[in-house]
Amino acid sequence: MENKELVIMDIKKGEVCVLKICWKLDVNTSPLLEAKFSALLETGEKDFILDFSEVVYISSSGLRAVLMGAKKSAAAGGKTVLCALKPQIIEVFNVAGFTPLFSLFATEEEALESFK
Amino acid sequence: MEKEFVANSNAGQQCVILENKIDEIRRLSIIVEEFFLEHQLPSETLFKMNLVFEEIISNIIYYGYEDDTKHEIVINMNLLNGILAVEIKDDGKAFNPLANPEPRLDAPLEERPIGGLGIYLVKHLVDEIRYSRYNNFNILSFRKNIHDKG
Repeated sequence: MENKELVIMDIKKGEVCVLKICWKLDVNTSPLLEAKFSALLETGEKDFILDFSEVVYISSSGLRAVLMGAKKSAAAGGKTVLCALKPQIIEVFNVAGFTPLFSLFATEEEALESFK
Repeated sequence: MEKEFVANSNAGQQCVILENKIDEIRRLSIIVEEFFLEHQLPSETLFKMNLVFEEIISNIIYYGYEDDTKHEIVINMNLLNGILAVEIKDDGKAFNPLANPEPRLDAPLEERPIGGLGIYLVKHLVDEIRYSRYNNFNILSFRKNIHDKG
């Protein structure tokens, strides 16, 4: 199936790992985010910024992947914050009751600031 | 500014038959997008409808069947007077997704259950939703007012 791949770039900024997620977090692609989280946690990463600036779609499977990752990073003694969510994505977070669970920042810079 | 939406002059119907394979959700999303473009419906609603479709169809495919054979999921979309009415019919085991208990949304991160969110989202993104069991088919029908924000 074309376009099935989810592109996730990870960039290390100091101690924090920035995951830039591209396009859609749906039932096809969300397991890839979970796998990425797990792989990075295994290498000792525990602080994450999820850059949502390129995410145009999220379903419950995407929410689940974000929640799983955040739970695991918290269990490892770190934290996961999110930045640059588009309005329609924030709306899904609101409906799902996810907004109070996460620190949401407008920009990556502000998200990085929260780790200092 | 959104395009002015003229009631009555913008009616349309579409029937889509999917196989019980998870890849089919992508195909459906493309068909739904074309339907929305053809009828000049707002993109905010398109996003929500694709989300609703993904949750319902993936639920049917993952939990509806007790065998490994091919099944059909029949989707009828009907646009009239600014209301999109959708019916989704499957021949899986009798299951009313609307009867599921709602997930606890007040739980903190560590205690938040992983499942149960999909149908909760569906219920909150459509305007009216009903389930019925008829002749060994599950029939889930919902309506979405296209004009409404939200």
